[in-house]
Amino acid sequence: MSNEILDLSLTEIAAAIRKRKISSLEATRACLEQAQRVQPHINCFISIEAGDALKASRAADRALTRGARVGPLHGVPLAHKDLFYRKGHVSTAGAKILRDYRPEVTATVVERMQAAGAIWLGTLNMSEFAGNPTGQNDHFGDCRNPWNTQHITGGSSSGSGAAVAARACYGALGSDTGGSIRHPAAFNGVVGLKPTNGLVSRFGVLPRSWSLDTVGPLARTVRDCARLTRVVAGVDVKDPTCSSERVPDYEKELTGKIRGLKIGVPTNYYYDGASADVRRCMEQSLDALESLGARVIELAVPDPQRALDLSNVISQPEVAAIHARWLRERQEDYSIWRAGIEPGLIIPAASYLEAQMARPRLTREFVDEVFGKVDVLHAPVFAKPVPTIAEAMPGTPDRVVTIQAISRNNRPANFFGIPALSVPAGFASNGLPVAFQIMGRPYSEALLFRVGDAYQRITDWHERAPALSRNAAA
Amino acid sequence: MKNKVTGKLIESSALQLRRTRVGEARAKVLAPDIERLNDVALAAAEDNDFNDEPARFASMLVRLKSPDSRR
Repeated sequence: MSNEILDLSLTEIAAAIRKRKISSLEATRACLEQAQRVQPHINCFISIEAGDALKASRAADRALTRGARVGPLHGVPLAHKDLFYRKGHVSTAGAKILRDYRPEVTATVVERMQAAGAIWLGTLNMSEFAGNPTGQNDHFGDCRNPWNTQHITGGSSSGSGAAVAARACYGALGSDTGGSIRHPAAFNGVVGLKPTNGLVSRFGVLPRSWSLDTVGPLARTVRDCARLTRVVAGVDVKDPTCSSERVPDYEKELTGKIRGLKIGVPTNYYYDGASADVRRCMEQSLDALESLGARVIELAVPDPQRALDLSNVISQPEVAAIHARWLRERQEDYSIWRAGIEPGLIIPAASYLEAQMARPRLTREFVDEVFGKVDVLHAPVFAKPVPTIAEAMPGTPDRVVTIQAISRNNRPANFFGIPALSVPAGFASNGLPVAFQIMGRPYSEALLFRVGDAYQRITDWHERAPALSRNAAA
Repeated sequence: MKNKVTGKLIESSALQLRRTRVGEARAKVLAPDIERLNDVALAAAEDNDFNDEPARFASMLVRLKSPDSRR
């Protein structure tokens, strides 16, 4: 019975709970047992809050019994990366420095998910201060990939990707400054959305880089992500960067129809150094989308390398400013990943501002040039097979190249502020997942969800479960 | 005129301007990367206009939402 419960998607378990076919308590118990089973193998949680979760699930069931109006996540066990603040609860950000930090505010996205009925199972592992794309963490232990524990999960939302893939929760929140939702979604075989900058409030979320940070969901299906996005998106007076754009009912847009849609495939940059496995998965996914009536159009896109570099010119001084005091006073409390903060100390303020000045113009050029010709852009999240932990360890030859390659295809979307949806698209010969990302105009999340959902209707990659999620108890 | 960014510049800038220690070896590693990023910013700035206000980015995203938006 436990596997049957855990194999349901987020929207399926929400419907089952609402119809009282499965209780929230049963679902929560199943997830907690699964979390306890997989935790020693993949270390995806920083804290498991079993007592609070069980208490909340009983309250959710009582609310249904008395006929209360309930939200779209009512009674569903979920979790979040350990950088979303909850007043009075420890929020470590995966860092020794914040091991005992209890914020005085609650993140808007947390409040919105709670109002929608979410049950929190606990907080999820992550890269220290959301700072490295491998997902490794010296302070709380490396999070490991449930498809093969010798491989990295990707980061920085490492635990979010791993826990969802391992069926320890139905969905999770992550954050994406340079691919930190899309890498772990891709590497763990789940779906992840980096939303348009401004769509989702960042209030009460530990900052990495104010200009580039976004908050988004990871879940097993596109429909699940659509639901989570609808819950968390929308104007928030506590976040001055948050947009007042209307939030559509994304699930209503999931028609399965993409006939006539123009899907762009970049002829430059995104396939540089791509492995044969990744090329195969990309071609197969495009074939599948074409079989639904979409048209695939090759096109050259305006220099993504410049966007990647300028995103670093913007993010590094912001990271350095956020960490300035700790860098002076507590250098020894950082892991080796402190190295990613230091360049920002030196980049001139004028260069930082020049990059900010150029950003609207370059974004307009990219959007006009690309989305004037096609409706969405399709590209690999990562052009190579998922690396092993050993390949990402300090002192390993080509480690820096490996790490830089992870972010390469993702950072341009952060610079342009456009949405990007990571969707599982098969497996490489090393047994690890491969994913494509669909990018679109600002605020085109509904379209990206429609494309991703249409693809998932005719494929079953998202239904595959890691063996560990079945055998962890053995 | 362009002078190379050196490890010594990185080390002394960090210490004197930011009161933060960056070791000699680390500074040498950082120097070419910082030089490259700074060059990219300078090149991008060639096309900047003095009226280019960074805060326009958010409203630009809204305007780019649909292809026929007036900009």
